[in-house]
Amino acid sequence: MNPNSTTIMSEKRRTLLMMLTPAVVVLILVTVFPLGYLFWTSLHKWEFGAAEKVFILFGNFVKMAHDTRFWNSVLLALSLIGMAVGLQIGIGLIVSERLYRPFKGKNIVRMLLLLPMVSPPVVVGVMWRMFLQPRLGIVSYLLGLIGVKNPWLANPKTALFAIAAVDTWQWMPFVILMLMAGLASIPDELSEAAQADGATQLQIFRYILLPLLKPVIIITVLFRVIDTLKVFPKIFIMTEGGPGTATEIMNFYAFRTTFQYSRFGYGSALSFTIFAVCILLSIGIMSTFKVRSE
Amino acid sequence: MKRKKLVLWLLSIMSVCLFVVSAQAQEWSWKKAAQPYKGETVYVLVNFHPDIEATLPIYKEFEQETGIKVQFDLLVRRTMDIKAETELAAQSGAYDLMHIGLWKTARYAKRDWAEPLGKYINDPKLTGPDFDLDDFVYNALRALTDKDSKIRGLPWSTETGLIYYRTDLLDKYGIAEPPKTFEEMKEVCKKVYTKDIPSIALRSVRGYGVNMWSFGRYVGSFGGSYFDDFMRPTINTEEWIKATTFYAGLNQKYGPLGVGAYKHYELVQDFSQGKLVMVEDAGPWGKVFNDPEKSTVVGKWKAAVLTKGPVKHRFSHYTHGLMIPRMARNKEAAWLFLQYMTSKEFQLKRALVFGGGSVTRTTALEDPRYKITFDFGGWGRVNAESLAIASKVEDPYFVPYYLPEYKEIGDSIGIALQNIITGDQSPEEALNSANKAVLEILEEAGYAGKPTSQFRP
Repeated sequence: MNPNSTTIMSEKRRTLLMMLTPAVVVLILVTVFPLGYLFWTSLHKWEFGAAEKVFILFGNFVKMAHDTRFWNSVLLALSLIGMAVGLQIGIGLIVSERLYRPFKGKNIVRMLLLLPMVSPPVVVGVMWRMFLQPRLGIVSYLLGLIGVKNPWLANPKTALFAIAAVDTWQWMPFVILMLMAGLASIPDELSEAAQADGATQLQIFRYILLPLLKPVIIITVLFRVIDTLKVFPKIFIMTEGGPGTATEIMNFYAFRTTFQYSRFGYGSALSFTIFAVCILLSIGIMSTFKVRSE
Repeated sequence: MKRKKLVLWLLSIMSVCLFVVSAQAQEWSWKKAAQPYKGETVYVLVNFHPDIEATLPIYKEFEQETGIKVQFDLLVRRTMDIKAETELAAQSGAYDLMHIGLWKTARYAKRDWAEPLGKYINDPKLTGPDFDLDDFVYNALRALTDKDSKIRGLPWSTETGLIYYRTDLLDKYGIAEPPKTFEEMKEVCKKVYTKDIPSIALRSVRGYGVNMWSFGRYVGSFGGSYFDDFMRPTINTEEWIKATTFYAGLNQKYGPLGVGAYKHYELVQDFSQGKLVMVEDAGPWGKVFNDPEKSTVVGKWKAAVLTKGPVKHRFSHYTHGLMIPRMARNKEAAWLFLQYMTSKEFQLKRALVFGGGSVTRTTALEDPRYKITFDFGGWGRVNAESLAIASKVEDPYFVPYYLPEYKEIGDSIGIALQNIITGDQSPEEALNSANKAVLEILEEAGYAGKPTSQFRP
């Protein structure tokens, strides 16, 4: 090999390393180190009032495997994801298909759509808790006019659905915007050609637009699944994990265990498990639909 | 002779001077006591509470008198609890005074994180002659005293539960007196119930300090207990089933729609908006119900002592206090402020001037001005009467507050109770689950099998 080219390569590599180093250092500090510490803590029994942490290796994870309340929280998290993401994608597709075509007042509609999305989660929680109050809430009142009387947040059968519905209200605009961006990137000639051949709007959407939207849908689903798994302020304010444990999803259970029961070791194990679940879900979603990055 | 007279005069003058100097040396004042700590800042972590709201306008007088600054960090109760435990676990020393309450004393005493206050109380330089420890309301101080009789905090607010009832609505149904027993409560609820204005609401949301605060007394009132003689839970016994059935039954049959998600905020809101006939909750809410800016039922309600159960008369109780964390940086200054805030004069002033009526001093409770000021709805009299009755009962609290693990135990039972109220589980099913969960907590803590007497104060 030409020694000059070797020198150039080394120099290039050095330059690359130098440019990457700050980013890597930041990544390690804000991601790798905290996660590593979290995992390290999860290997200990560490509770309020204990003089020291006691190393118990995977003792907390073994405990988790037998913890019915943990498995309940997993089931609830999966249910919440199914309901919320299902609603958001389903309704989002219909609405985005309508909205991406030009119409009068489109910009105003798009602006209004953004409002729920930009509201702080705490505000959303407080607002909807008031709206759903059985006797004084406006939503409860309006539903009562059509014969639907239900204490949404006090009924264990409907509390989780209520959380999913509020989450849908808040984040469906995000889904709509993502899908609209995806639709806008599809050449109009394809739809026009199909239309010229006699295809209906539904057929165009189903056989042309939807397949081409697949990568955008997958990314949107991924974002929403991870965000739904992390939902916290709404649950904290609206139900506090209740009634009973009806809305105590994984991260809420981890929060209670760590900060209210002061079981830091077990709480860390729960938190690390949530992180692992997020990673696994992401990999699962990506590989199921075989999305390749360019 | 002249010389003799002169000597006598000089001796007399010297004696008088010595007496004056010694008297001055013995005279205690805030200014004098605080002199070595002038310029320090005391950081206080405490919750939003009507009695703290009443404290804020007047604590500046302490600053003016002593030169010690006070910085309050006010948070909503749950958030404050989380922050406090995190700070204590990290031993940060960020606060000089932190909230302590009935079910925190055992937790903080276990790790010695709350300074025992004996050394400050007994220090004549730091504690004034009028301090009078015996003047504190008995159960208020007891709540902050650990099982080794060390005082870990001083109380700034103490409360029992009271029944608040609408006099106009009871009159409408020909009911002359509020219910005094559980049976009478059930009868009154049955008689006065309407869909628009339900009879009663009790706390339902799960939590050691939420539904367990109200419910705890029902267990004892039915003759139940939390543990047998060897720290094994007895939460699924007949008495517990009766207590939960009764409590849940009142809510389910005579409570408002959605009562299964009610905390104290909803109870207070409904009653003050005229949407409930009765409510059973904490003493400080009387101030809210009497405030024309917050309540539509001013002049239409009265307070009553909690109802008596079939076996015993038990009370809901809580005491809010402040403690000095072991790792605090300005302990003496913190003690001076704590002493000031819980002194007879301050407690009375807070009550008379700003309505912070849940005082912790007996002299304040018995002061004629206090009695006149808090006469609305008979609140002052009933509150004092309840505190007095509760102080004579052997175990007035009736939750195992003496266990550091009470938060988790209370939460486990609170979940079961809320499940019963919402109808998600039967009492038997829910209490069996709770009993199992509590047994696991006790076994993990190493308590199960040990004599219960060694844990109780």
